[in-house]
Amino acid sequence: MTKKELHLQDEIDDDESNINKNDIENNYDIEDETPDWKILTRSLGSANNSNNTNGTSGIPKRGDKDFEPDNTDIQTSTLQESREAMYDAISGVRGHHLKQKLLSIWIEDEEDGGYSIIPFMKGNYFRDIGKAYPNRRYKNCIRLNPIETVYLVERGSMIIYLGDEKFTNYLKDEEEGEFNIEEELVPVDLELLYSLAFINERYTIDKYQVYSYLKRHGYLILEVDPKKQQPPQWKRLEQYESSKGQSRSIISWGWDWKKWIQSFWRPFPPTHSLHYLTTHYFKVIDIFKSLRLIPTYQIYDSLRKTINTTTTTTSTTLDDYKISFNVWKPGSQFSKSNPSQLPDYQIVVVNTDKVKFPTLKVIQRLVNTIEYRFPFEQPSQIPTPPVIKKNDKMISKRQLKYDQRQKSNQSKLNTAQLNNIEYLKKRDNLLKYGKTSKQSNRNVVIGVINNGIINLINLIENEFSLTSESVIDELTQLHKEKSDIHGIVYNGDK
Amino acid sequence: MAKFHKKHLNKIYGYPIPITTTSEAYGVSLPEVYPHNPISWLFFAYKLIQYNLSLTVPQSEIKFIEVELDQSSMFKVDQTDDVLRLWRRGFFGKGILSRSEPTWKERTINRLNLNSEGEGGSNLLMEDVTVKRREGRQKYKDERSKIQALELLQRKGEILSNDDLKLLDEYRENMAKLKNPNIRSNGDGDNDEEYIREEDEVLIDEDTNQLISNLEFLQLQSIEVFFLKFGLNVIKITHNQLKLSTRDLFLQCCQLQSSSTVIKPNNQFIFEYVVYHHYRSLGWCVRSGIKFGSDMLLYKRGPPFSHAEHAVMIIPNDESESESSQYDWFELASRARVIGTVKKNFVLTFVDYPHDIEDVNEIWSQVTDEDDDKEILSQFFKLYKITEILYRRWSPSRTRD
Amino acid sequence: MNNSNDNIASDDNELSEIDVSRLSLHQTKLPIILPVINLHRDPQVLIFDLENLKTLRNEYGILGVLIGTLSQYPQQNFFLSIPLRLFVWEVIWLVENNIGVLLDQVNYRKEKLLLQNSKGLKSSNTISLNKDGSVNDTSSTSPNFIITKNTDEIENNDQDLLHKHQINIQDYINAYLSNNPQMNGSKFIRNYHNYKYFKELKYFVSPGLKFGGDFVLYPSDPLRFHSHSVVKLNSINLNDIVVGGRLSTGVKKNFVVIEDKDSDDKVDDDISIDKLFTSSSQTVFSIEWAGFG
Repeated sequence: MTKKELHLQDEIDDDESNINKNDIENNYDIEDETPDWKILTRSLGSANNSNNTNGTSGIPKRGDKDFEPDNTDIQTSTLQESREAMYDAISGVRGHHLKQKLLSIWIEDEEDGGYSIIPFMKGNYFRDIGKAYPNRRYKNCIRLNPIETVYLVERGSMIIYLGDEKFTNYLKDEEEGEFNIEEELVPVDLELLYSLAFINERYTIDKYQVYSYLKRHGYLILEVDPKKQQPPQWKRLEQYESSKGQSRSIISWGWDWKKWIQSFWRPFPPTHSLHYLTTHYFKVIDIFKSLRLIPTYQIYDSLRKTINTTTTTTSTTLDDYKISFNVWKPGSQFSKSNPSQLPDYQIVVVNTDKVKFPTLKVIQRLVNTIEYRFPFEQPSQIPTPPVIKKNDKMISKRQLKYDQRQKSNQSKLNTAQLNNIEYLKKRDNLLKYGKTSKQSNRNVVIGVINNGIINLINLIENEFSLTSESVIDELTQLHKEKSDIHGIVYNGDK
Repeated sequence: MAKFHKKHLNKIYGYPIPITTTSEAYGVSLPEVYPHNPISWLFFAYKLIQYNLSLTVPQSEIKFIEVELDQSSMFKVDQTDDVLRLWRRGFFGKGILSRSEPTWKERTINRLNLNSEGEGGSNLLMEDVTVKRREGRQKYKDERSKIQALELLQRKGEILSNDDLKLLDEYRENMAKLKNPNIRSNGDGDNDEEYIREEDEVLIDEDTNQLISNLEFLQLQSIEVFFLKFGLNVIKITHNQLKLSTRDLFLQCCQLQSSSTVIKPNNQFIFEYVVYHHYRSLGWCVRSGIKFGSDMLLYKRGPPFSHAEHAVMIIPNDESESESSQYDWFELASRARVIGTVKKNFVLTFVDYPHDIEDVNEIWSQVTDEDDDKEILSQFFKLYKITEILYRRWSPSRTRD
Repeated sequence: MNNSNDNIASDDNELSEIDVSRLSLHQTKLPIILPVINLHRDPQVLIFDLENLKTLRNEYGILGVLIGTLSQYPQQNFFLSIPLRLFVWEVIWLVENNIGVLLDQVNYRKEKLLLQNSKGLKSSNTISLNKDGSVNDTSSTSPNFIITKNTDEIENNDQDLLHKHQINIQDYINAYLSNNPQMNGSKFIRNYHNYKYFKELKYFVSPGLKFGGDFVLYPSDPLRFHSHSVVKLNSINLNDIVVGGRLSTGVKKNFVVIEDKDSDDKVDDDISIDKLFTSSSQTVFSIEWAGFG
């Protein structure tokens, strides 16, 4: 190797053990950093009304923090300032204008723990929140679960009063009469509300944290009723598979002939030690094919298994992993009364002190219970939700140049090459995300909480061997001859 | 520059497996078959028969690569051409004195400005180099004795004057400079200034100005060795001068993980091997993931081409026992975080294993000695099953639109 | 500090029985109320009182995690507001040092409400805000804003009521353990001792899930200081060291492993408060990735 080659070798940096500066830059996750409260500008109704004029968008930037306490006055005073800014902000009032007042009443329930009702619904919070609860007294009434209640009260959008016996009687009563909520009932402060709302297993602080976290991002969320169940996936799969025909095209007959002819010249099968010493190979990819040995899981295999098993083992881990919420993206065509649009994500909430990482069985069981549409169940063109145009970002010059270069390069290629590029892209997407633009994967999002800190993980069913029919359908359309070797990543032609 | 480089890489790393195909050896290839066209079938069959009758299988003429399992349970490959073949055709192993590819020899020749193999001793420059070396050595010894003299005074209890102390520091600095030759030379001019350390001298053959021997060998992981033997049968492995059969090798590898002679189906080696074989058979280049706390890294072509795309963690799947999961969330979350910082895909590879086998050695109980080891083991490995689950961090702010 | 053993172990945990003379100087004020929500299913301590929150942070270095929506900016997750969720080690530490007492919040508040109603007391929930958002104290303007207060803002003066609903530390821990199957008695004790070790070295300790560890240590308030270390409790293997070292070094911290020297490997389900509150000695190591970069 020449000196030049050695230099180049180092540059390639195949050894990734160095933690270089780029890593540190990339590792910076904005949510890890403790934000600087001084950049907040407004505090509503707070103790000291500080009107900071140097605030910006509210998104924290990487800090000018210190590494060591040095007992200087300036450090102490800066700390004091930051603290004051924080205390100031969190002492802000939670409420809204009297003109738009939205009231609710908390009703205790022996069985379920409790819920709230809003007699006069108004505002645009209710796309996903609440269920219609019409009754004699209030026609537009809706009912909220404890988590929804706490969320709306905490953000100041709703005021809640403690319902008493007189009120519950009023609701059931036939007689005429009015009930003045604000006069008769006691307003509930946040501390009391939390202690009333969270008193059982179904509604926990962990769940509330995940719920409010996602709500603040703008998602639409429905709680999953643990009792309601969809027609199980395995049933639908079974129906489909039994109805499938057994026709094979002449093309596959052709490939079989080829294999049959070649097999004459294989004195020893691939599982014999002498195989490679006695068999002619004309393509490297055939060697990989003959190496295949270990059985692999095919997508939906776990569904076929569960047909006959009625698992009586009631272990805590199996029970702990249940879908808590269905989540829709903010721009979706979601409608509460008819959520025929499948949820974009389904969330399970667990606490690291209560459960361990799930076993494969638990993961598969979870994935088997999600709301999922099989590829064979979908229409050929999936209606895509309306695309909400992002703010017109300035596309960088570099990006423009890159796009142009790509385009001109591609126009030089013929269809076969373009086909190949698309094929490889699809295949890599399948390996990396388990899905393509046309078909989704079976996945579940787990909200893992540890002492109030949330981590969101997506577990996705996948298959590197790429042999399941439903998975490879799209790929086979692009490259028919590769139908049994989509999983082999070797692309050379030697 | 990059294009030339890419061509160069494609040339030397053109074959992903240390098996030589007939098309590589003889430059032939089979004709295409068009299923609708029966003539193409006939042509295909004719060519196939012709090649099979006239050509010998190339791999049968290639000598076995020699691998040794030494006393410290390390798998070593010594022969230069063997090392090269293993590295260039599949990126197997690691040079023990290098980051990954065994380049110690070349680096040392460059660093010490020696002659590569084949060059004779009649190089005019050589003399100069030797003279320079001698001078360098003398300088070093002089500095050292100066330091030692002053240090001795200190030890004896005498207090050194300020001037002497300054001198001492100066000498020490000089020594440090002398002792630290540049590994990468910046240009030809600097080479003449390079200093040879005592440790380096034993490596140099004074007469020819060449490296006496290559201190580096290629170290292989047990799963790599087993793949090369069981999967491809391209190696010959010895241990204490005895040749190991596939069966012997299997036993040895399992015992590296658990010293008992009873091999259980949940032996760590078996899990790792089954996963290794699975990904190798799919064409991936599989290497150790220890740098990132994972079990394996998957490369599409190999380290010189691009970074690994996927990081694999092997999780034995205990089907029958009721869920005593082995891992807690912290373990997974921290691994995922490390893997995420280097932008790789985190793949959980679950392995199902047979439960009704008490001791793997049973699989040989009903066979005669003539039965092929590989076939027996293949039947056994088919009792395992692999399932993949991707573990991805979900970011609500990014997926919102 | 050793007084705490005697006090907590005594059956009646009445405040009045604590011998005031044995309290150290900074404890002459009344203990902070630590409201416990959902005691039987999922015991959590949440702080709603701003003054208590300030005291906890300024004087005792207790950080907790803010989990409530900030009403001024309700659509972001960087700045959150009251309530403050304390984690279990913080709670134990506060109780051990007689800084805080645990209260069964739901029953206490319900009874308090009854008493208030009987007296005809009712707090107002409307205020008047000026255009710039500041509160208008003058009685001349009529209210234009309706609000939810964080607490009832009524002093906790009734000592008897407080005593009645106070929760014994043993009960709290038992409730915690029965709801967290991954934790057992001896592990709990070990983890608490390890937490205490860092706390007493004046570090600010926060949960460390995001960094792959149990704790994250700050030399002082995280508002102004970067953290130095990620701590992993309980035994680790070589792989954990690689992962921990790499992860921490990548975010400019070191990786700390700690073990309680006196601990045994017993897996005890029960817990004795005595054991919990005895002092212990720890072995600590820190690890950094060398990288040869």
